[in-house]
Amino acid sequence: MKILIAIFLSLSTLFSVDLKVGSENAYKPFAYLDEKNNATGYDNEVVKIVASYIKDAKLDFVSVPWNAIFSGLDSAKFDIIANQIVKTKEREEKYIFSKFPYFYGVSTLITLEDKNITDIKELNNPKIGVTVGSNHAYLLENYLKNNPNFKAQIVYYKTSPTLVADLKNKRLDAIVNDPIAIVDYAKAQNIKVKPSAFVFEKVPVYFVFRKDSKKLANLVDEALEKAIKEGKISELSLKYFGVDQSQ
Amino acid sequence: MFDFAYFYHTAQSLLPGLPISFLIASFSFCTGGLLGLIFALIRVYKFPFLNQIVILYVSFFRGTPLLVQLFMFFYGIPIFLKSLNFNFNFALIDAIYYALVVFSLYASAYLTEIFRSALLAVDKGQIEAAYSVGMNNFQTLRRIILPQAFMITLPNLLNFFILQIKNTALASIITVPDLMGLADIEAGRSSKFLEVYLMAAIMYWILCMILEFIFSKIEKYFEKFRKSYH
Repeated sequence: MKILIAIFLSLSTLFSVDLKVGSENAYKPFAYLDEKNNATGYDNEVVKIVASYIKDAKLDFVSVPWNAIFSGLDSAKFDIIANQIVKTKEREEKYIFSKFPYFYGVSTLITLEDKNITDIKELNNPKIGVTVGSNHAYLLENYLKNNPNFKAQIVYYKTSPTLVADLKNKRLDAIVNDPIAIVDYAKAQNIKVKPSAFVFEKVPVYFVFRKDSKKLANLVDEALEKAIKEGKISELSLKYFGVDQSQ
Repeated sequence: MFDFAYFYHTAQSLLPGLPISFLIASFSFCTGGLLGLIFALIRVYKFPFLNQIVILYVSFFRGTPLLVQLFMFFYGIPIFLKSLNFNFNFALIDAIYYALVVFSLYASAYLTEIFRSALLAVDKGQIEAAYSVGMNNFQTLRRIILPQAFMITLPNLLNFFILQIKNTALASIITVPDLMGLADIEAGRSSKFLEVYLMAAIMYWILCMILEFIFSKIEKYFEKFRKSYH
């Protein structure tokens, strides 16, 4: 009997899918370890949802420093990276990206909760705050350059928490930033902010596989597609960030 | 590589910050000087009660970093007042006014000490001589003590002004577009840190050199009067 069970168990591992996931696990709220040292965070939870759509999936999270994340994938320490990876030309040549993104890094216009803005032009001669030297600052500068008739004043801050404080102080009418970071800072300061639908930039985030993992990539793609269709990923994004950044 | 074309180009984008830096330094120097003189007199003549307050005030503003004071006034106080349901639209006050106030308070604390040491340095015999010819306290102060104290303190005063010019680089932390603020914005755009900050350094340097030249002329001019006292 024992032998039978042992054979059965080894057979089942033979047919199960091994999902070894590499992530930094020091990147809140996307990938981090909870109090019991279990991998959690948005990216890791997406993987767990995806795995639930794959029959006999065996999940294994590997923590890896950011600078070793691609070499870890190359050396087969794990087979998937889920760590807010965006596409670049060099990466696309070397790796397989999942067919669908599971998240979008965005740069949006954010106001206080009592305002209802869908377009930047609804603001009249506004003061808009950005962090100095950030991509958000670059996008706003570009926008104002391309829309010379729209008058706005850019105010440069050195840190993000002060941006939020000055939105509340009404020294700013809006800020341009990633809503995830801002919502987090706002919560800490007990301030209610509202990311508007006006998006300056939207950068999709994908799973990454080795070129030889085509089979696994297909399997994950199918599962991810199902999860997206059933609204599971949107649900998770809402739970984590209060906004749906999965589409 | 060092980008010379860009280096010259940054001069244009940094230049508008220079008058703002100069304004903050000179405004705070004047108001801080006036306050400092009053505070120094309170200290020297040991006005009851006020003396203790001035001691506390000077100790606080000299004993805390200017950066902390700027943060406290610009971000802290409005949030604190709001939490007390004090309804005032802080957006009406531009960041530059906070800078002017905080830099003035900071300057007044330092100038109090500079003036006080100068007042104390005036020879006691001169004061007694003034009393002996029948001058009252105010006359002694105006005719004997202040002119001499001014001569003694002049180099220190001008030195402090040049220090204050360099202190203004901190104003950018509260979003004032001074020379340093514009340099940060420019460096953020291009990531060419050496070019941008070298240009900013040269601009501060030139401004301070011009001031040093003017001040040395002023000191030479007043030197005439100093001689007549000896």
